[in-house]
Amino acid sequence: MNQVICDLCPHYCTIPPGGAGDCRVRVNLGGRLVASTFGRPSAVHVDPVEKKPLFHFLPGSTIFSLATAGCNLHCRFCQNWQLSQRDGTQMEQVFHAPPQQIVHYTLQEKCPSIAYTYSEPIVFYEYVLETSTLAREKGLKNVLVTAGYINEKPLRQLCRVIDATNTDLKAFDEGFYRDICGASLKPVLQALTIFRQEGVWLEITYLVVPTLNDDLVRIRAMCKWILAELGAEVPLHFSRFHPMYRLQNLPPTPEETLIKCRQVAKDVGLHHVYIGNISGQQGENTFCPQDGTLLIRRFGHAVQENRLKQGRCPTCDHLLAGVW
Amino acid sequence: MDIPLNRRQFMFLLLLASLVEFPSIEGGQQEIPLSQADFHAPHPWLG
Repeated sequence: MNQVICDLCPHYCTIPPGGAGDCRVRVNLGGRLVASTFGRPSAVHVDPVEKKPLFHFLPGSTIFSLATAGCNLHCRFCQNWQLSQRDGTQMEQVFHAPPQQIVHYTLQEKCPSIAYTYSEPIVFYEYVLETSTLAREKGLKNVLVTAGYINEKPLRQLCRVIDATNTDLKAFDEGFYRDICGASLKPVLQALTIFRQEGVWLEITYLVVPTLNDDLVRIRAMCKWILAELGAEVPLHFSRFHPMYRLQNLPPTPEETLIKCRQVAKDVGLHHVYIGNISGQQGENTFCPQDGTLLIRRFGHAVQENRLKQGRCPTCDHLLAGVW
Repeated sequence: MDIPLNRRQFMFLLLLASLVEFPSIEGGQQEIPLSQADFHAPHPWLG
């Protein structure tokens, strides 16, 4: 039969010869599991690190960002579905970009780090692992922007070469993960705790989708879990939903909803709660959790002022959690 | 039925064939060298 089982993520796909897993890009070629998008990204850009979003990781720096096709989730609200919900052969453009070239161009563009982002880097795991290893040898840092739907063993192995992650927490609700994303919550919570255990700098993004995951009671429960299991200093980004893909019937997230979510998280005791995909908000700025001093002022993805002194508050000398 | 081609017709067909871009084995795509990428072009991707 020559079927193969992919044990990278909790789907544990059984893939027939010539077929692909749920992610569309991990394929069975003659009884061998092959990552078909290795070295073949479809998006390669230099972005501000704030766009990932990472607010406590080399603020104001640029980050060399890349993605291949494919994803092991199928969120109905996916904002990058033209990348994530396709296999490599359906992309309009595919670059020839072996790991050495990614590192070469990152250095040429004077970026201090590389982001594996836009779609889902878990599905191009081997490409991330090899590129990150080479990048680290050259003094570069590596960032994983992910939904965190991966099994423990490969994740721990990847953490050895990853410096920071922004991981999506799509909802604090198994039903939402099952019905809206085609996945499950428990492995994502496990991934978040593994990132912390392995010393990877962690920030979390929560896309607030009107009527589907904007219940403040559940959001409060999620914030309590983050506080108890991950710590108060893990930044949480509440991000604005825009009608997209298969959820075009819903309106964009109202600004007041995002402000309420942020207040709930702060009331629970999280130190750094941000509002994203919307500009001109206090929720874009970083404040000292000890004395309330404004430390980093942002507008959109731009850092307008950074008052940190080697990661410390200039007024009370508090060391802010992050990578500075 | 055997339709003979004269030299001009044959050359025309040859020219047409040369204009057709045949797909590569991997899903009908030509891989673009990374040196041709514009890393600073505006793009739609979030994250």
